[in-house]
Amino acid sequence: MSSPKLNSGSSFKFPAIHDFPPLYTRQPTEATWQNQVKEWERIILAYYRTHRLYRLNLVEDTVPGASPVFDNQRIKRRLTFETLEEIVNEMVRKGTLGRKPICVAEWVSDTKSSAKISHTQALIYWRSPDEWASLLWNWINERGLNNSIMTVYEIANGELAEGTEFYEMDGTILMRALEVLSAKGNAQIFTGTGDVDSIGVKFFGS
Amino acid sequence: MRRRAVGYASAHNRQAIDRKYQEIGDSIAAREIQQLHDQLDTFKDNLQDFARKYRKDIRRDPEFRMHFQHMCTKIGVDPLASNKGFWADLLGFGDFYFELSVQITEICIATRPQNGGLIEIEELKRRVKAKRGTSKDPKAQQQEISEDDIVRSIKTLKPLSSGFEIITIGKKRLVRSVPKELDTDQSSLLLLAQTNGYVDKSAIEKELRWHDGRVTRALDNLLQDGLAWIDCSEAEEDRYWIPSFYDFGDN
Repeated sequence: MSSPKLNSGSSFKFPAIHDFPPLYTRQPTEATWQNQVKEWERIILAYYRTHRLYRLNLVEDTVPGASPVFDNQRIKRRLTFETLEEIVNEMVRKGTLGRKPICVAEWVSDTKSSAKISHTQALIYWRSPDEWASLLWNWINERGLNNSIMTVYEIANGELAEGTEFYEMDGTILMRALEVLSAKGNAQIFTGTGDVDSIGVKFFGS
Repeated sequence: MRRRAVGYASAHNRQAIDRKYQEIGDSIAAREIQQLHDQLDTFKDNLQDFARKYRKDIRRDPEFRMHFQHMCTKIGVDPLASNKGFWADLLGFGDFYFELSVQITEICIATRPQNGGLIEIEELKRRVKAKRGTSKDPKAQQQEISEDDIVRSIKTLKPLSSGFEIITIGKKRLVRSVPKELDTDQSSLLLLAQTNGYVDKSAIEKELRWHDGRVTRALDNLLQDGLAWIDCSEAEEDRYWIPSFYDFGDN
């Protein structure tokens, strides 16, 4: 997990259920398991939001002592990689269900080991792409950045972005938000040959 | 000593006397009943005056409310019986308990996936309070809620065959919001779990002296009904936690 920049001083208070020992054992009863997933989702989203984190590394984060979220040393219980994978799977699945699916997590496909999607890293959306998009769009209009072209890097790391909600945000998640704006006709994305950061975006008038 | 009179005249005479007694008796009884009625009416009037005078306290103070309810029940007045009429208008009781029972139902349903539809009254009260604290109605925010109010509200749900029931396990009073009854083995395990919030196999074998098959079956039943969560850890024997007994605090 990358170190948080903003709100780094804010302390996170885990809900009481985080100290409930069976929360760390995969529950065999379906209804209980669904509730367990919901509780974990709530904890993960709240923690990630407070610390402004975007990526969950399943292997690293389930190593003993690595993360206060998944290794609760007070009650000596730890979530295993397998259970966390199942939980994230359920969270990802949620983004595909219902008429208005809520995107809370997305598997990151490892392009190097091109074979199948490896479930080792996930993007965590404590704001949905839609929410990020409207946040961005408001900012563009406030700052009068309409009709200007910016790179993805500039948007998230430029001087203008300092102090905003999306300052130093994850490039991939930012791209998802930009795609939402593009689909609405509010922006055009110029994909170059380089990496995500060098992709250019033109914002249109409001 | 005078011999007791026999014959028609004397019999007739006795009947007449009996009748007289009867008449006097009836009139006394009627007078007494009338008196009682009058007293009761006076009492009801007084009770209404009382209710009018202490309306605020009845609404605000749960203990006061409970005593008032007891008093009403004793003389056959049920302020809860109808949403219309004097009592409801005066105290807004119908609305009060109706609103409370809706909140109770919501909480029971919302927490069901976590506790299998078994919640301690104490916990229910805490959640009702939290819920009312966010209410838009400032009156609801101020009102204190007691266990007695919760029990009463659940009773008002009875005619709807809600399946809501108050059960006692050991020292704890709980609300069961699933129409499935606890079997005796489940109840025994819940009672045993009150000490630590969980049970494990060795504790069950030691305390209840059940054979292994019965222990496994009872524990599986608890898991299946969502009344227990299993906790496997490397260091200890598997524990079966009862979420209804766990303090989720802010959750």
